[in-house]
Amino acid sequence: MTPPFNDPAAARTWRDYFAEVERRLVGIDEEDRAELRSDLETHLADSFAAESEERGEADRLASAIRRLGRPADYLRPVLADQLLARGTRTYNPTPIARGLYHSLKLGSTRAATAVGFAFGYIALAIFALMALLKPFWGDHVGLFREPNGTISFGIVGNSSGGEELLGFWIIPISLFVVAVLYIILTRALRSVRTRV
Amino acid sequence: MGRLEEGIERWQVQLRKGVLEFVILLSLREMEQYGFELISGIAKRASLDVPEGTIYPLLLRLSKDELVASRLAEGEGGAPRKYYRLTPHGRSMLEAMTRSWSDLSASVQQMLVGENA
Repeated sequence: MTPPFNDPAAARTWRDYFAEVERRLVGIDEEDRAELRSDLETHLADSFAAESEERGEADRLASAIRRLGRPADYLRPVLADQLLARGTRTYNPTPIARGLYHSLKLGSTRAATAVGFAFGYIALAIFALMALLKPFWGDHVGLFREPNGTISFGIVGNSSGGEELLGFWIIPISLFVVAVLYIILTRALRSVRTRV
Repeated sequence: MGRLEEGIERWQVQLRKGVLEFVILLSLREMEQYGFELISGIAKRASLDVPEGTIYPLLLRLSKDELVASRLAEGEGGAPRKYYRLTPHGRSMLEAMTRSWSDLSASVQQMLVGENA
């Protein structure tokens, strides 16, 4: 629902604004995307029409856009929410990572929650990395008892002289931890998603 | 802008965002409204200075939660407009939110009076 602009500058501003809206809507369900775009177009047309006609079209449209706000600001919450909903429903890490990133950018409670979950997924990635590295870098990955009695676990810089306690068992153990942690974190994220 | 003003501004933004859902349901209590009408009314009556675009993702979520429903009807000039109204579930939720708001507001007011006494 584009108003019939006489001023080419106003028509261009309108097109640019909705190109930005479209960019920000990537990742949102098709049906919601069409609905939001249509609602925003109708709103901006109404808001533009409500401006005093004494001013030029470009000026009136600029005022209406200023009140509507930047698409990046008001569309990010819905994008974060939908990505997290999709990721936690399908256990797909890509939308989860993107959803956490957008939640972090939102600030406040959402950011604090996102930081917590991001740490959880990073811990999970470290376990996955251990399983991957063990066959190639065996002396530095695993559970070691050092000569002085201290225990080192994970990816260690120098394990010379240390006794390896798990050997290649570290691979299935790490993979098991990854699977369990992924399910627990994703289910927890699904349940808190609606509360943040 | 000083640290105090910045802090207050951040707090006000969060506060406004937090009550927006409640204010939308309150605005739809009496009659159905289309988007621009709804946000203009909120801006006029509630002085909630939030970007107008904020309302649409929120209305989408409220629709999915079945708190509001919408219908397309011809507006002025013949262009179709989407009118939002409260559902029975939305009305029940609004009553519960109103009670909760009154309790919270009374507690905060009591603390304010206590501090000033």
